[in-house]
Order: sequence, then C-alpha cells, then structure tokens
Amino acid sequence: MADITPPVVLVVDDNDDTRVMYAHLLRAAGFEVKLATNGDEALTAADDDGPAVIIMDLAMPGLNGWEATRRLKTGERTKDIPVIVLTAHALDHYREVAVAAGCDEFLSKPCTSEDLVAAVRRALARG
Amino acid sequence: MLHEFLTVHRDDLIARARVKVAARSAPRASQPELEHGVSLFLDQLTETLRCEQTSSTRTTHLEIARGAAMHGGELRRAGFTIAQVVHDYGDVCQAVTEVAVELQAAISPDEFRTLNRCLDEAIAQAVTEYASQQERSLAELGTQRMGFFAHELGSLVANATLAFEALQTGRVGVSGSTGAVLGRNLVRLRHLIERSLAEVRLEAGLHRRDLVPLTELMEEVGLAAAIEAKARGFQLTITAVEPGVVIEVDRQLMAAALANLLQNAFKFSRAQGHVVLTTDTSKPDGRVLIEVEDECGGIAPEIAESLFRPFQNRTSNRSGLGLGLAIARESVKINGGEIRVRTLPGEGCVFTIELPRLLVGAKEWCAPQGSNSPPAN
Repeated sequence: MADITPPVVLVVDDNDDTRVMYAHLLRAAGFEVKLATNGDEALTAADDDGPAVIIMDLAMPGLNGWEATRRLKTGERTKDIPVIVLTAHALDHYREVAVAAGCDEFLSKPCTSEDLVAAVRRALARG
Repeated sequence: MLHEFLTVHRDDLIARARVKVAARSAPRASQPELEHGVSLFLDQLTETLRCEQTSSTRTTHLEIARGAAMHGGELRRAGFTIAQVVHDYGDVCQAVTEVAVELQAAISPDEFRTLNRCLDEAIAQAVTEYASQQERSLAELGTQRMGFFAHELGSLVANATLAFEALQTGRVGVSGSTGAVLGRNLVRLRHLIERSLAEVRLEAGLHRRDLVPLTELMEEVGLAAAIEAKARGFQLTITAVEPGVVIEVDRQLMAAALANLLQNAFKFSRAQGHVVLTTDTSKPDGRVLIEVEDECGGIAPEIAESLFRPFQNRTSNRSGLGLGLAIARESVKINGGEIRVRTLPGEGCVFTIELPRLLVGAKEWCAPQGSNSPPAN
C-alpha cells in the first residue's frame, strides 16, 4: 500500500502569530506541520522528527536562525533536510549570511501563501 | 626650530595647557580630555610643524592633511566634541606662546605665523574628518534603524496578509483565532507607525502642545488597548478619569507614549494576564499621574532605569527595536512631564507618567461633547 503520510514541515519562528498562520496555510495545502520557537528547539525537532522541510526565521532569541541553519547543514542526521529561510530582514547582508550558512532557499516576508507552498514543493521535489 | 622647542618643553606645555582646559567654563573639560587630549593635540601640532619646517611644500600639505584626518578620527572615537577640539587646540597654542615669551625663546615672527597656519590647518582637517566620520556613523545608524523598522513592518504585514487570505477562503470565521491574528497585527502595525511618527517628530523638533482634555486622551488610548487586550486574551481594567481635567501636551506624542507602555504591558505580562490603566488627578500639587501596571513578574530594581535607554530589551523577547521606552520618555519630557518605573517583586511593574495639570482657567474651558477644537483666543 502506498505511503500517504503527508510530508512534515517544521516551522521555526519566535512570533506566535507567524507560527500559527504558517501552520494554518501549510496544513490547508496538505502538509503535516510541527512548530519550534527558536533554533535550539529546531535542532531538537529536526533530530527527533526528521521533517521533510524546515522553514526558518532568522532573528530569534537564544539560538538564531543563521546558526541553527549552519548546524543543521553540518549535522549528520539533518544535513540533507532542505532549509527555507523566511525572514522580514531587509538588508542584503542577512541573505548573504543565510546562504553562507547553507540555506536552500531565501524568501522575504511578507510572502504570499502560494509562494511559500511553492517553495516547500520545490524543496520536496529536489529531495 | 619651533617644533624642536615644542618637543623640548613638552611636559611644561602640557601642564600649562591642562590648567587652561580645566579652567574653561564652556565647553566643560572631561577627564579623558585632560589626561590624554591635551598631549594628543600638542603632539599633533608638533608633528605638523615638523613637517612644515623640514619637508617640501607638497609633502607638507599631504602629511598635514593625512595626519590631521587621522587625528580627527581619533578625537571622535575618544568622544571629543567639535567645540572641545577647537578650544583645546587654542589652549595649547596659548601655552606655547606663554612659555616662549617667558623663556624669551628665539622664535621668529615667521615661526609664529607658521604656528598659527599649522594650527588653522590642524583644526580645519581635524574638524572636517570628525564631521565626516560623524556623518557616516549617523548614516549607518539610520540605515540600521530603517532596516529594523522594515523588519518589524514586514513581520506584521506578513501575518496580517496571511490571516486575511485565510479569511477570504471563507473556511474560517472572522470572529475566530484567524480574525484575532488579523486584528492583533493591524493594531501592532498602527502602534509601530505611531511610534515611528513620534520618533520622527521628536527628532525634527515638530511638536506642538495643545489643550487636551484628559478624558479624550485616555478614551483614545483605551480604545486601542481594549482591542489589543481582547485579541491577546488579556483582561484590561481602565479606571474612570475625572472629567474637566485638561493637560497641555502634544496629543500624538502623548498617545504614542501611552500606547507604547500598554503594548509593553501586554508583551511582557504572563499569558492571559491583567493589565491596569489608571489616572490619578487628586495630587495636592496638581500633577496628573497616569499609570500602567502589568504582570511581568517584576524586574530587578537596579535595571529599572536602564529600560529607558535605547536598544534595551526587558527579556529575551526580542521582537521590537528596544526604542519604545526611550522614545516614550523623550515624548513625556517634551510635554513637561516625567516617566518612571517601579517594580512589584514577583508580580509586575508599574510605569508612571507624571504631567503638569492646567489649573488656571481649565474649568472655564468647556469643550462641547465630541469637539476636538480648543477655544478661540
């Protein structure tokens, strides 16, 4: 029997409303969603749950998104999980550092639900 | 040569210049200025004179310009103001003249002219470089703050947009959690814009005090706070405001300051907590107190004052620039008031805005209900 378990997307963002809304739109698009509020929680969740894709905010308390991305991309169990950075930071420097940390795609907020879902599907297709 | 004279009598010149700098009433001398600044200036002048008196003209100008530019940068990093730079060079020059006259040193009028020319060149270059670095630093700070502002704006618009898109599908109701997300983020957008506007108006000096009934101000602020409280699941208590009390304030700045205190109260209080907004107009000295009490659990008394410094955040909750309280304090100060905080250990904080109250003629001002216009003069 074919495996019909929907792919798991891990949403990492310290803003409560952001997590809620991304979870809502991704579930509406057919994904299962897990949530984390900072980089430390993201690393634990990635290790434990093995999500198919991670959506990562950058500026978060504790372990920020840049460092979390770098650690995910160098971790043996997590390095192949696509990381989509989704941030409201406007300066080019932030994008450069995120790309250097190993993120697979960089999206800017505000981002439409279509764009986000399309990015997740691209990441899944590449994997 | 004069530069040799300065080198030989360096210690005496520094001591005399320090006395002059310390005795100056304005700009007042700082400790670093006395300890290190005077010698910096003298050494720069000596070097400039050495170049002038021993090198070719072209080399001299290049070296003077480079040396003075570096010196200007050093002075800025050391925290000197332009006024201190100009006056300190002058004090050093006076010390040189005094010592030369006392010792009847064989310094020709030409050398004194050279000294003055070098002094002018040194001041001009140092001040130019100083101003240039200051401008770059301000521009960088401005860019950074714009970047942070755009980040805040982007996050709020993103949340509001996603909530609106979800509501548009018709699959979720406006009165549910998605509607609350939309309402909450629109209110925060408004606060962000109000705070930014307050900041711009403060920096540009564009503020104007008008007669404002306290009831009107509190009603405006309370309404927005009630929306935020409902969206966040907080209980908000607003005590009654004594009618007829008038304050003379810039309405937008005061409303923004109060809105900031209330937003912070919601941000830092425990989930579904209780925020209280009170006014007290019973003080015998006629001052008006407006207080916002939260349930943040309290803060260490020694860090209370630091909350009002720019870029300070109370907890690890780093959403926001950390400018709100600094701007609120400035706004209240512009309006003739003061703002302070006290901690209720284990419970929360109480932020108090104290303002002067209009006593003379205030009760004669009976604005018609709903009117926003002060009486004609």
